[in-house]
Order: sequence, then structure tokens, then C-alpha cells
Amino acid sequence: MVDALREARRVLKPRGVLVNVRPVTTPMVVAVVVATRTIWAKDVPSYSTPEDVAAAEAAVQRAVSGEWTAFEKNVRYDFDVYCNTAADLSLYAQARKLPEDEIPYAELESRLRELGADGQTARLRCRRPWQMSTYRKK
Amino acid sequence: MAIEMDPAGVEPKAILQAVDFHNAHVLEVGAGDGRLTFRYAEALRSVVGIDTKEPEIRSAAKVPPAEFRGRAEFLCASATALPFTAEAFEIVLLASSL
Repeated sequence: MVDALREARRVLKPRGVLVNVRPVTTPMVVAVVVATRTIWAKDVPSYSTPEDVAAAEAAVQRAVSGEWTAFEKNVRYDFDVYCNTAADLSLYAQARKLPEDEIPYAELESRLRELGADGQTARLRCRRPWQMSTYRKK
Repeated sequence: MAIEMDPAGVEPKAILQAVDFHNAHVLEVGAGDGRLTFRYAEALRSVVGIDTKEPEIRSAAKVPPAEFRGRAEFLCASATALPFTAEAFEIVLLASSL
């Protein structure tokens, strides 16, 4: 991590901007939605070891906020991913290394089936909070 | 399989509001398949996306939209040994890559 930051610093021009975009450690929300209406939702941990991620985050903040960059801003936003089935969500979770044991796939699939039987087109939405921080090279 | 990511474009909007990409040379570390790159790249001069995941970066290199041809390049490279000269970029974007 420190090596990557050192390299980023090396290739940045003076007064250049370092942008760090990453998911944050607060839980994501997995929901069953019909159009924009949330039918059912559950908080799910985004990481299996959030304390490690928080420690890494603090290390990055210390490294980049030191003598070679000046912190400029933080922006938080929600990153939404929509899936048609629980199997799709599982593929996404695997690709993103999300803690799969925490995701209630059976419950989600069952609720999708119920809504489908009622003639409603439901989908799954995984809403994960992300953060972007910007720093200017001194 | 049907997975739709960020259909409202919240992420590129947040990035474009926070950073001035106008006429900039940009390095994106962790560019993957270019999903994010192509959504903020309109105003910049050039972008190089790197990633260690070769299949993904190959897929980005294959299909840059026409408006980015000649301005977008994708390479398989590591964040800890960047194959670029010093002070080559105005913006370095670390996309979930630390």
C-alpha cells in the first residue's frame, strides 16, 4: 500500500491531484425492490474484517496527508448494483469479495418468487456506501 | 446473468463534481474493464488505465468507445511499479486499489 502511494506520488505532477475511491466499512443494504420501491431490506456487513480495513484506511490517511499532499475533500455516495436473481448477486459478491455468508440468499430468492407470483417484476439491489477523497500534491 | 451497476451514474457524477478533468493526463490505477474510466473520460486529454487483472484490462483495451480511441490506453501493470516517467500525470485516480 505504501509502495503504491509512493509510486502515485512519483508520477504525479506538482500540484497534481490524487483521487482515492473506495468502499467504506459501514454495512451495505441488500434489498428487494419493485421499480424504486423497497419491499424488504437487510443490513449486511461489507467486510468480514472491518477493523482491518479501518486500520488500513487510517494508514492511507496518515501517508497521504503528511508532507507530500494536502487533503482537499471527501465525498460519500451510494453505489447501487441491481441483480435479477440471487445467483446474480452471488456472482457479484464473489467478484467483489463481499462476505457471502452474511447475505440472506434464500430469503431474497423466496421474496423474489413471491413477488413474481403476484405478477410484479422485482429485483435485488445491493447499496454499498463508497467514499472518494482528493489530495493535492505539494 | 443480469447485473446492472450504478444505473443512475452516481459514481462518475461524484468524481466529475470533485475533480476537474479538463485537458488532464490521467492515470487510473485499478481500472479493471474500464467501466468507470469511460464514464468520466469525456473532458480529459488522455487516460491510461492499469490493472493487474489481465483478462479485465484486455477487455477494456479491446472496446474503447469511438470517442476515446487514441486518448485511452490500458495496460497490465502493478501499482507498486508504475511503468511511467516521473511527473507524467495531472491526476492519479486510485480505484479501490489500496
